[in-house]
Amino acid sequence: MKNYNEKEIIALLQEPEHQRKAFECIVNEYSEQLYWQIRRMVLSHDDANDILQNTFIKAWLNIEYFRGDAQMSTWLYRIALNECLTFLNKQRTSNQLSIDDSDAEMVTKLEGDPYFDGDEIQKTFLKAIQSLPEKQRMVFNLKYFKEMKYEDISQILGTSIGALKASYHHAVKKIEAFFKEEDLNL
Amino acid sequence: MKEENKILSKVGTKNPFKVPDGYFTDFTQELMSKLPEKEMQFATQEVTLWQRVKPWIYMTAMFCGIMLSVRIFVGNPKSMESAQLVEMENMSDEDWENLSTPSLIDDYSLYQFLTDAEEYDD
Repeated sequence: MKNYNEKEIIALLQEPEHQRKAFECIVNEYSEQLYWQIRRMVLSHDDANDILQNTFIKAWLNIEYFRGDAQMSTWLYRIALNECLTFLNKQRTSNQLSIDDSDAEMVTKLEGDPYFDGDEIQKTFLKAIQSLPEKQRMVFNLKYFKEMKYEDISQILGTSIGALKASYHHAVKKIEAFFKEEDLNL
Repeated sequence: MKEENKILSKVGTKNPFKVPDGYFTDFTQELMSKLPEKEMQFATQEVTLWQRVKPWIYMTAMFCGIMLSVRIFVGNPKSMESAQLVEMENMSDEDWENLSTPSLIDDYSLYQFLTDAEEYDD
């Protein structure tokens, strides 16, 4: 199935004999875009890979609960971002670190990451993004990098559009302030 | 938004992250091999005897409950009948006559009685 047709795929998901094949099409369609959203949250490739796999395994195990009322992408993004939050909380608890320490540590790890080739300004940008509260970071990443509509973000995060606009506005202001602190005027 | 444009022009949206070669190509196959078999779960689900008879047992229990409630709140129909019999035994002959008279009048007699009454009124 080369052309992804969501309606057809969702219909096939209801048939036990075609369910697996339909799910494969879903993985094929969404794995890359979900990966990048996860990666921007956790930064490390290995962690992003684990979370992405967990996301799809959870989706597979709960596919009967997906009734097609929402878009498949919305459902998957919701699972993925929840997995990210769970991962970040676990990581913080196991390392006994505060939110700020944990995020700072993650950015420091990028220095030796073979799968990161950003320049200094991109590193500062990542630090600024990592300084945002987790949910605000999600809003910023979805809006800034993916150019997702507020309506879609609202469905994924279960937050009102007004609150999302305010959150994004604050995020941008904070990032600008972060650059100023680092003596890198935008 | 002014600040957003500043960020876009200074940093842009270039992705600084990389993935191992062929990561996305191999990901789907790798993941699919890890997924548990769901079809097997459907096939091995056996319906036990208890699951099969459960609705019938529940229905019977519910019916018995209703019957019991009716007997408690409405009373025993047999005991009502016996009470009526006691009452009937105590009735005098005159009561019997009064009680049985209307049942002896058939439709024709009743019609005749009414016609006579009308003629009498006139």
